[in-house]
Amino acid sequence: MKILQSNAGVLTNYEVLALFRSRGAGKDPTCVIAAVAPSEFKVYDYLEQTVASHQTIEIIHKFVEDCEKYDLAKGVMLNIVNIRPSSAVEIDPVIFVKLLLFCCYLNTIVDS
Amino acid sequence: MFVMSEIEHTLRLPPHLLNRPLNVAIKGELESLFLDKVIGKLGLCVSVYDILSIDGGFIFPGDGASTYTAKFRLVMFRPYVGEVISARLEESTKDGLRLSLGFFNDIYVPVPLMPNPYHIEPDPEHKNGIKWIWEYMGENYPIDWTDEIRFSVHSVNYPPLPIEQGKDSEQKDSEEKGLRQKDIKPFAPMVITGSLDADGLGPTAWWV
Repeated sequence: MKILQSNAGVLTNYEVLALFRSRGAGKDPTCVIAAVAPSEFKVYDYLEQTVASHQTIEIIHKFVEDCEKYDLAKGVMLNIVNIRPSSAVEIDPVIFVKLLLFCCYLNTIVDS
Repeated sequence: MFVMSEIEHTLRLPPHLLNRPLNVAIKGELESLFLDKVIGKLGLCVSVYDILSIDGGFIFPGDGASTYTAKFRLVMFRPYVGEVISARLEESTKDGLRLSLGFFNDIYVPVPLMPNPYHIEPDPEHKNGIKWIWEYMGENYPIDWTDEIRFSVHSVNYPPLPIEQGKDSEQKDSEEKGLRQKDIKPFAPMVITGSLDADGLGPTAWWV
């Protein structure tokens, strides 16, 4: 085995969920007929219980566009998309900068 | 949480798969090789994303099967340090918490990374269980079994494989340490250490 590229791209929880859905994971309650392995079903079950199950690609693209003005790191934006914080205190552990000036940005990001 | 990794691997395609389309057969073989396995420093393989190329198909002397070299991308579970993830409580002891994502259960929150200040109480519903309770502004905030718990990734470790010993010597060692068979933890090739010691972390019910 040879590792050509250890990081060939990051995926949001929504994209992984969409991958399993495209293989028929959500349409097979028996978890046998679909081309999805049992271990993949466990990941699918976890993602179905997260906010990713209610997201669409348009929502994620719009969020990324709206966040461009805040100059957030890609990892931070990815984390925000994955957990969808609904208050400033939930976004606090994601964004490590705790400057007083940034506090006013927190609520606007949450609103986005 | 999920990252794609590009891998090249040479694999032998068993003859009983020759009636299938080549990419389907190779994908099946790759899934049996990599799915639900931890690759060192890459993480836990969750799925085969796609196959980029398939070369070869040579039959080596003395072998009844063809050998292919495939380039493909795997979806790996590899959280980065500082990432905030939601999990469920799997175990609560005096050493800390063990959390689970369903497909990955080796997430530990040790005592130094628990929310401070805290106190512990015995958990009557679980044998040898401990209930962790965060104290804040005169209020008690317990960590319950039904809560969705958010933790921050403190570190991701890949312990080396243990050196295999004979069964007799292993049993003797564990008896000397006073461990019963069921208390010996199985080897975990990937261990995530999480932290709950920050605002916004811990059970989501605390912050609603």
